[in-house]
Amino acid sequence: MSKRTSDSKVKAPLSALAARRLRQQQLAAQAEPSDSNSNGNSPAIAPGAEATPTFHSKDISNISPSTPLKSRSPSAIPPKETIDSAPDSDIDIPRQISNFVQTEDNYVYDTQTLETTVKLRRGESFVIQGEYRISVISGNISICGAVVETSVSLDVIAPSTQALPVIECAPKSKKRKVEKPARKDGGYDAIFSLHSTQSGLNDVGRICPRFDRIWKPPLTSTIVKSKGSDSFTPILTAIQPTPILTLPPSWQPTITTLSSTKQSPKSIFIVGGKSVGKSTFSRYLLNNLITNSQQSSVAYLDLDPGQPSFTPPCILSLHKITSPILAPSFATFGSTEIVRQHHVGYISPREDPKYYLRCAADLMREYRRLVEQGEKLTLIVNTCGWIKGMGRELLHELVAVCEPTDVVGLGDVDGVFAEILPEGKGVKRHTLEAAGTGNAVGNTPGSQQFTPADLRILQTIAYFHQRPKVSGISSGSSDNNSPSFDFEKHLTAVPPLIAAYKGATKVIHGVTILDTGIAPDLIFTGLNATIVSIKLVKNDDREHPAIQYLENMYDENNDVTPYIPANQFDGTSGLLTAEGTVTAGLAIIRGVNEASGELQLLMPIHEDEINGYLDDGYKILLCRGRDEMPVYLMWDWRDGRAGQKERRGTGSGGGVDKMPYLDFVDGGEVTGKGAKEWKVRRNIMRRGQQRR
Amino acid sequence: MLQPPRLTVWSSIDDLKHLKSLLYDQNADYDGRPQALEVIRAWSSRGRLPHAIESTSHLTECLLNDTPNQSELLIRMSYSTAICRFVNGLLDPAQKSHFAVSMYSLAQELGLPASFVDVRHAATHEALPPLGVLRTTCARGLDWLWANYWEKVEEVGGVVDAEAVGKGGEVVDQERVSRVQGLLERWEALKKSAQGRYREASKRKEERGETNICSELEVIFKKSAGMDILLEILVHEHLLVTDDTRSMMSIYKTTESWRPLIQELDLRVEEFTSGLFNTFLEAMQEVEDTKDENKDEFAESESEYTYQWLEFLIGLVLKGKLAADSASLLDDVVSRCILSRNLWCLRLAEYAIGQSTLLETKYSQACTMAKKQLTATPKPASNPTSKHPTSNLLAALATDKDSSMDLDQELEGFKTKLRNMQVQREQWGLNKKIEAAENAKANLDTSTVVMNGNKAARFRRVEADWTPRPMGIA
Repeated sequence: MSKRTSDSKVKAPLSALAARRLRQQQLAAQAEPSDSNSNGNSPAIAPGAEATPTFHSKDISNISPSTPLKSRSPSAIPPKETIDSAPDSDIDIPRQISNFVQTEDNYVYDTQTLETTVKLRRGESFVIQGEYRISVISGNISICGAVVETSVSLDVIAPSTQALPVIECAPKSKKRKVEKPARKDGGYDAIFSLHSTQSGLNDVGRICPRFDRIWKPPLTSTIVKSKGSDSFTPILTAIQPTPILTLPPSWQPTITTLSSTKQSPKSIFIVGGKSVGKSTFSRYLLNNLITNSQQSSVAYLDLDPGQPSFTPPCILSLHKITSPILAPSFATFGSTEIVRQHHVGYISPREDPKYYLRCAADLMREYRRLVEQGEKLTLIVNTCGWIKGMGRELLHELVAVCEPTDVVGLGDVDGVFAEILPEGKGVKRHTLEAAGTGNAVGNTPGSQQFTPADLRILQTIAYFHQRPKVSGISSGSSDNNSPSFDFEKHLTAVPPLIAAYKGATKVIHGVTILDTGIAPDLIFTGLNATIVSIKLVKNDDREHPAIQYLENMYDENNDVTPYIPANQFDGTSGLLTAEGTVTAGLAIIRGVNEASGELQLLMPIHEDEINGYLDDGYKILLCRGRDEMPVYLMWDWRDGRAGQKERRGTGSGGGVDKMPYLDFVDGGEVTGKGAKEWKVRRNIMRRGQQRR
Repeated sequence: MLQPPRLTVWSSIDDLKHLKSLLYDQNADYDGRPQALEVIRAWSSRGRLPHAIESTSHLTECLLNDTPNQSELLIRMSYSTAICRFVNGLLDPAQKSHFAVSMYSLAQELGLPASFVDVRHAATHEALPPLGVLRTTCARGLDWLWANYWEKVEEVGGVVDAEAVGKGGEVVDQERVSRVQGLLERWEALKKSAQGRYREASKRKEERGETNICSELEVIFKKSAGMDILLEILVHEHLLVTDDTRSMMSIYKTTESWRPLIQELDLRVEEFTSGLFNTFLEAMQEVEDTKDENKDEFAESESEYTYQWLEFLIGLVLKGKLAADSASLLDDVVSRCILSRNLWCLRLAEYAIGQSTLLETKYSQACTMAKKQLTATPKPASNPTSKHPTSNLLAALATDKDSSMDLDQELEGFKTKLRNMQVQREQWGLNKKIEAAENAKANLDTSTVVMNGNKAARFRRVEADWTPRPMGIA
């Protein structure tokens, strides 16, 4: 079931001017009956001319020539449109989102158990926004590529940052015995119930108001009546465009092939450009493998530091996954078992490709070790979207490191396969269309409201607002795997952990800043109020460069900040070897007390866990990459700027409340030229240049 | 919804101003540029630097690297890169239209001389320009950056928010604020350096300096409509600033050193003293009000310090050395104290009443009633101790037998608390010394330290109440 933009009568590519002309003609045809201002001119407009007054209210200039044709649906017209008097009949038509007709029988809310029971027939689909637990009572349903069988419950988190998952009856399969519901249930093929869940994520707006709307359902004309206290909203029709997750047709056969257990365990390597749907594909594949094939666990190697699937940004990781993933990347912390991870410090491999490759190789080694120990794990490798130039060379190296059995190319991968894959028949190639092309709507570029940078901010904010889990609790129950967040308190109000870096009882044994050499007295100028990674190195690892440096330079001297200048080593890989260094997670240095030699740290790792590392004989190093601190973590927007002015401390060096590193002046405090960072426009063209 | 602030690589604009002086003020003795480059390097690890700062650092680095023992080609290449980046980084963001506009037009718009674009073009597409040209271009680049960026930095406000608004809602000139800051700092410096100087000549010099500062302050205070904010700066950033020891003696030093300034301004500026009192009283009330439930030691000593300042000022007024022409000042102060629902203010009122029979007759009853009201509200009662008739205040208040028992106990509670705090502070000071001595001893014995260290080396959560504070402030 696809959601087609109802306006796209035009299929062939047009030049911008011709498109404009055509649009004006269409609007003229609609406007004529009621437009009293019409001066009778034919809508044909000379090239380059401004819109005539007749069409002023339509504001034709909103069609920018660079927008792809698909997204030129009427509802994409910006609000300037509202002064229009002519009925533009396309705009307010509600679109069908769920293929479900609500009756008294198939949608039942039980006020006692607060459960909603839904009965589906084959061919119907049901879309929900929000978070919920779905429990299948009879039959099987499929969601996001996962098949949920009878008596299985799964937690789903579905905000509007991504396309919404669709609940349907699972396709018939020979391998699986489908228990049809009893006759008396009126011939329904699947029955499931929905519960509200409370992960804490719906409060994310308290910390970052920009993301408040991801939980608000779209404007709808009909919506299944849900109780106000529910954490989810089923959506039947919507007025605003609401992307839902549908599989491009070429994907399913490939997923089925890849899920077969012949020649297992497979290693599946996914490549593709930016925003083609690699993460979507890998998630579908992952869920399918776990629920629909003989394997119960899958290995996932995440090599995209800019948009990781299960960790905060700037981290590469290897996971072992045993249950389907039905949540976006900012809500999956703790849903997987992190076998090993490496903080590379940058959102792109471009800054330090050597270290990137070393970390990837180390993670592959770890995977192979798991396989040797007898676990038959299919491996899914997700790469970053860099397929040109140096990115292609990097992919070539990665293929050599990962030795995949299958490579999946999404979107336009002409030439990529030829360059990165070795000669011969060793590797099976699969070429698929990108999500968002044709009729299927995944993350269409036009409707994406959040850029990758926004999602990184969201991921970082969510990461630091996790409720820390104390290890040692039995990992059997599903409750402990579901992530839990607390956005009540702003981080500035959370009591930090005190970590001494000087003195005999120090717990921080080294600090370093990647790729820069800094004068020792300026270390905390660079580190205060930043995000750092917590790296663990075994105390007795005499070969480790960091251990050697610390011993040579500082030995027993505990009165000096144990700074390791990164520029004296051969890149990061020369200082923090991937094999010998474990990344435990990220932390925020929220304050430094240089007099007492103590750092104030905030981290989602419980203090018992990190003290445990000390007991296990690890040295703890803090490593600063270039992780970006979201401004909302520095500043509590609920305080408001006014609040900050009113508060005046008394005495102790500076009465007016200072908020360091923040500039509250609109447009920037400093007004000189060159006061902003150098940002390049990437799509600038020369006159006469053809766009590729 | 408020627009969120931007993140900067510097902690406060003062850091930027300091950097500017390091970069551009050189004299025979001291070249601050290497230090400036270090600072910029530290900042660059925090995030993207503003282009002007980055360019200044590149060009300066090249300049400093331009020494006879370096290879000429290397010097030329570094200059070329720095200049190319400088020009590109300035002009690229200005490409706002759909099609690329020539760099010369962009340069013209931005006020960058076309010669820079020429050098950039030559360095990129043609032969590497000769060293002389590169040196000149670099120097001119630094000048251009000074004129177009660094000079504008001066105009920005310092500690106070650029949109500082006084109590009455008027906008205060940022420039005046920084001037006042400067003057007050000068006063402090003057006083510090004057300690121990007893020779006549230096004393006179000091007095002259004082008078100068006072006259300048007078001018500013008189001109400003928003004197309130200037008073706040005076009070909160200078008068109430304490050093770490917070011993009882230090207030004397502080009050003594500021007394001449206060008296001078009192004579020269109308409403100065009353404004000063207002600011102090507000400060005292505010600390009390906001920290109602968790009266930690910090808040207590803050209030106490403010209280002592007010005591001092009242003392001056009563002796006639301050606000001599204002008959009603003390009345206003005392009545305001009584009307406030604040224990410290009431103590102040009692003190004032105790010192002056005139005030006593007018206000003692009102004061008693206010105290009764206050103690009647459900506030955590202080430790009731046995009655010690030690001061006139108690005698003065012993009108109503029943209620005065409670009041007395309350008052006693305060006094005991104060004494306890003093004792505690002294003890703490002693403890610190003992600890330090112990630590020094312990450090000598490494083996025991290591053993103890392993036991105690832990990450620990902050135990006590954590008051929310901005990131970056410990």
